[in-house]
Amino acid sequence: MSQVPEHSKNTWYDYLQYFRGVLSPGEKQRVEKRMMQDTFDTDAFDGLSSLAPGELQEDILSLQRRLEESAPARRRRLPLVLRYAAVVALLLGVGGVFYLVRHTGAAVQQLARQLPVTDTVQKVATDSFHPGIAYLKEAPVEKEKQQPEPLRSEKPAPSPQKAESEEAAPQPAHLEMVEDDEVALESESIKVQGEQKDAWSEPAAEAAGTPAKQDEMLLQAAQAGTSRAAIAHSEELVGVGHGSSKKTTAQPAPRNADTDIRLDRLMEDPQPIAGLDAFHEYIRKQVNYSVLPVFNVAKNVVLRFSVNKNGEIENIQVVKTDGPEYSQEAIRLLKDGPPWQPGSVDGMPATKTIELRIKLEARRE
Amino acid sequence: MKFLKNIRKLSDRSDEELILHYREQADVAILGILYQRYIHLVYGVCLKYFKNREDSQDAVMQIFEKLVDDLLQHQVTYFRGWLYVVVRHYCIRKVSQEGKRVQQNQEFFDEKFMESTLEWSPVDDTEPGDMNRLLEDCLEQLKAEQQSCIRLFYLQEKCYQEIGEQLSLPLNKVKSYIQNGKRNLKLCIERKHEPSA
Repeated sequence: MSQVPEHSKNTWYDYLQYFRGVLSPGEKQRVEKRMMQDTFDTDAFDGLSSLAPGELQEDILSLQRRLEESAPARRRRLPLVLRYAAVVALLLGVGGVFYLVRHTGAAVQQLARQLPVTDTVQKVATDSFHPGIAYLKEAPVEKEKQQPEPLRSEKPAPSPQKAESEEAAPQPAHLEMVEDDEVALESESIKVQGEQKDAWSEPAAEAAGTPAKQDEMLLQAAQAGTSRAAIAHSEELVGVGHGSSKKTTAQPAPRNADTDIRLDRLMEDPQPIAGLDAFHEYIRKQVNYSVLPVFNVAKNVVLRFSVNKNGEIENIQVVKTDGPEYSQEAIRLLKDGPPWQPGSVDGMPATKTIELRIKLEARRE
Repeated sequence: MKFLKNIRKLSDRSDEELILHYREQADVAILGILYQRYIHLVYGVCLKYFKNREDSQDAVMQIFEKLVDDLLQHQVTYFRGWLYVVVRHYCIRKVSQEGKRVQQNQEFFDEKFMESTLEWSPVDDTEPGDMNRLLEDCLEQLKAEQQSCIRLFYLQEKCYQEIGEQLSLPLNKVKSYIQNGKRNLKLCIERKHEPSA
């Protein structure tokens, strides 16, 4: 007696469909015929048929959960060589990020130092990334590009004109130099912003209060062209108008300059260490079709989750789904999946929340 | 990419490969993947004996715990058949411990170690309309209920429900008539083959 080839056996899904009563008589007969060719199946069928249709799925799912608890999915271990390679790559990556941060930060500060300017104008260079004139030229374009942000409405926008004139009057020569410089910087920053537009469109201020969040809010303000100019200049005005209180504005200035520049370039979303392509490949290969009620059509689940500084996945929420079974499977895949690299703010790993579409492909027999 | 291949392989591997893998690494997670494939069958068999969802679910988990050791100790060549025997033994022992009487008690004890759970019968390979004489002869000798159920199921490809409606029989009766009829047919055909061979 030879063993029955696998394809002629009923899957658990066959039984689920069978007991749900959604099969045609012909399909039922095929399930029954296959079932009767195997004593294990024949016995099991007797037991399973004593359940109500809904109970079968419920019980099997709960059993699968219990099984998973007592046999937790294995932490996938890379081969030794690959593990070393991954560590080296990670170090290189982190090193590179740090290098970029230091490099760009230093370059701007150096530039500012080279300029033969007074205290105030130097502050224009370091303090506000998009100062008056240059910024105002771009403002209408920015306005078209950006969605109106709630932040913008809070900040009154009429000051830039005034600021410009006040500033331009006392030091026309310096301003000219700054302007040239800033136009170059500005165009670059606009490019970067354009690339990150998707990321920006998410509302960022979920837990305002942490420094990172404040920075994000600042950045949002920076996006809203005119209002950013307004902030820069209102700060500036304090400096110019009240010479004695210069110290108070000077203190936060370097930090802002630093973070603004870095944030423009170095807000990284978390991603799978092996890359998103590899991750989707993993999803494609690892879908457990036995828990999906329908698998001849591709199903989508959009999950929102945080990746913390250690690359651990937290707070998984379902944003969109084609059904609870699919979200459950998608969550399982995400949890069991390859490790994630945390996102970064300011070159440092940070907890970030992202949304990810997980596509459960149709099964190919 | 290489490690992704390894992941995929694990769930694509055959039962026997997974067992080997498990014996090498003693990794319960591998056993979990294997057991997952049979969990509905194990549950079904447990339900048949315990007739109770909760007991059956606990039994499914206890059998898994048992496998963790047993698979390391025993050489298993055909997991499906072996698992079936393990599950039945477990259920029988549990049920008799609790002093519950189960209808099919007698059937349990005449079992032998199973190499295969396959229960093949010549009717399985018979297309409707393509009946050979031998089969027809044997079919004629079956009891009336068994005969009509077999005919309807295999030759007219009706499902249990349709047969049950047609013959006004409960579904479990239909199933057991077919099951027994099938077994008798096989015996009958083997008997008839022997003299000529």
